[in-house]
Amino acid sequence: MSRRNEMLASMDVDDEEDEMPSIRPSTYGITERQKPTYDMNAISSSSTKPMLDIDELMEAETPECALTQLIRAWVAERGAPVLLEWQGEMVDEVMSQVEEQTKIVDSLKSDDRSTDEEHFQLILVQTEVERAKYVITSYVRARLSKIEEFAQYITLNPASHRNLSGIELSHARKYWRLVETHYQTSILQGLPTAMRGLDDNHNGKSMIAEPDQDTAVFIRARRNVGEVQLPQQSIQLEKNDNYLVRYRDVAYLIASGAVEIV
Amino acid sequence: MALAAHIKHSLTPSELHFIATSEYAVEIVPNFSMGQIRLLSGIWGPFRPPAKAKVPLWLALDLKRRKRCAVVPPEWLTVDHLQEKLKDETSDGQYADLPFRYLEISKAIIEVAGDDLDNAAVIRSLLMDIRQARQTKSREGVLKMNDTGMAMTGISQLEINELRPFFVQSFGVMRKLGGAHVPANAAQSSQSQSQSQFTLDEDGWDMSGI
Repeated sequence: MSRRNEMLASMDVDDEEDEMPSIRPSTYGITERQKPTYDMNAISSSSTKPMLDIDELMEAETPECALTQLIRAWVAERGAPVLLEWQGEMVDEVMSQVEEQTKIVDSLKSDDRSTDEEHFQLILVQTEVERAKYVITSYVRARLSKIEEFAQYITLNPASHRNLSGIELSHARKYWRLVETHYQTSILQGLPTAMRGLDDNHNGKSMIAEPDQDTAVFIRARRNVGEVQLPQQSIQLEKNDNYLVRYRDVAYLIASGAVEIV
Repeated sequence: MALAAHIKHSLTPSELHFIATSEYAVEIVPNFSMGQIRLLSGIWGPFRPPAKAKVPLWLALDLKRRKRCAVVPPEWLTVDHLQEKLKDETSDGQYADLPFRYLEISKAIIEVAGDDLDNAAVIRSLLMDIRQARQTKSREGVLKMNDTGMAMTGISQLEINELRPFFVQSFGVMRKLGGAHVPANAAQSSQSQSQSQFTLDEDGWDMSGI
């Protein structure tokens, strides 16, 4: 009984003599707690604008965790017709958090000094770790699907490389080499030379599958954007507005994070 | 293929459920005592009954399944509030003001924590009525479609998902046809008789809500 009380006391805070890693040190994903900045200049300049973003100030107080950001990146990747920029930092951040949590879980699990409460916490931590892993794989899969679809385009267009991670780029190249070799050996070798091309351009139609930037996407404004010029019309985009627009017309807003794809 | 064809261009309802339960936070009344817990999504707790604690929805549902807490329904998920919203929904052309993921959230809560709601059966039927009214609006909104941009103020995530395949494809077809349909206001300002056949009934429901 007394031993149990001891343990209960020990799990409450990070005891120095307790060599067990604790489940609750500082917050994840927030390197430095952002304090709301009340910059007088900013306030005076914003007074000229009718829209003072109280919401934005509130949001700045609670910075988003890496996992939430990654979920948004995953949803955007699924919605966007083109391959968006690889969010390497975000993925690394979530991965290292997952690793750290897993390590803690493992060491606490094998330690018979762990309390019931800690065991219960472990279950919850593990549940979330599995959820985080699911987000990472879903994100990578969503990208992989597009990379394979546009492998030829990516291989031939160095400009598109900056949105890919190193592994993705090498995968795209290898994948396209495989497909190309397969086409050559199975069919194209038997055809007249003039018909063997895989990148012909006929009547303005290219054989190379290219992402269609004119595809429509559903977007949702994450903050007040103001006027956005679309072909034939201009729209007022306020926070939480939903629009159906061409990807091409709002790509810059998506990249800046002002709007999200939903 | 990395993704099956049918999920490639749209999120599935179960993925939306996952996103909603990650993003949304609810209050719970725990029936256990526990200090703070650090998760990837932040620090939650402490859990000291009968004090309420705010946690992500997935955690609330998980605890509820383990019979470790009661979920405090969000203030919009009550009979009174939904009745009001249903009235708005049927009397006004715009979508009533509901959370972006109201369907996913309410479905999850009703399924797992229905006994914590005041009158789950009534809430469920109200939600169905609201959903029906909104679906009608979405269908009528198709008439307002154009090939540059379309406002869909107040539409929810699941409704977007429902409309996505049809809308995205129609959008593409209209573009290929070369702007056969122009927004109603543009058609009015320019004289164009030939376009008048495409101009829609102005009394029809205005999806733009502007």
